[in-house]
Amino acid sequence: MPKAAPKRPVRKKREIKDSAKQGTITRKEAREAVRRVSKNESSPR
Amino acid sequence: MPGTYDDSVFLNCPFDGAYRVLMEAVVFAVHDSGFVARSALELDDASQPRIQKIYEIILASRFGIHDLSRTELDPDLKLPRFNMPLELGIFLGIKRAGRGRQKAKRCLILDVERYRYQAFCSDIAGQDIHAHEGSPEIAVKVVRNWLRNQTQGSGSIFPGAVSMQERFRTFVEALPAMCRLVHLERDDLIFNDYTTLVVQRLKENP
Repeated sequence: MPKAAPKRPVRKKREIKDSAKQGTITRKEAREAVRRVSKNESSPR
Repeated sequence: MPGTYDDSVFLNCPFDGAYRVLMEAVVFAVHDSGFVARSALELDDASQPRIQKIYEIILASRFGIHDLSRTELDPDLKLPRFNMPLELGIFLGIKRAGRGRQKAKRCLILDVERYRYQAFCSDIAGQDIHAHEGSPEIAVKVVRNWLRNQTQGSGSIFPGAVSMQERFRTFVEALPAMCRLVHLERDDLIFNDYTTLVVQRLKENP
């Protein structure tokens, strides 16, 4: 019986963790600002 | 999900305006490596003595980044600023005398030049000191590479140093526009707002 191929170690992308404390802006407000700016960054000039 | 003890990195860095860009680079590299930056700046509680806040954050953090680059003479007082070496001493003391998980602490010591510390803090001779030369790009690379070494064998994939430097550069370029949208001043961002924006940016661009 053929030997099973050795399993490759699982590699996964690091997880981005939340900041320890929230500041004066909420995560939702920050996320919306990031999305709006990212949209402008990727749109053609 | 916020960080645990094993994900938390205590930042022992100067808070002055001239250092801001280096602090921002270090915070970015910590979060882009999958860790959580912790600082005495995150707590705004006048009822708690500052040193108590520092003890609590060090006890909650497995890792520490200690930047001694601002240990220099105050031009008026002719005395050195010694908060950073003091907090490094607290970190090393807790690692040495603490129990259980505190023994697993790891730290990165930064300075402008690798051997400058020998003139003011020679007791730490033998520790590996890294130089950022006052450059945010070098600081990103040094922090990223150090955290990479701490996670060897974990199977976790990080952006490479050049990629992370580029991600930081584009984040800094986009930051003023993000600040305008949330009605904050770019040059007066507090630590918690800066980290919130960093985290959301990285989650959108993992």
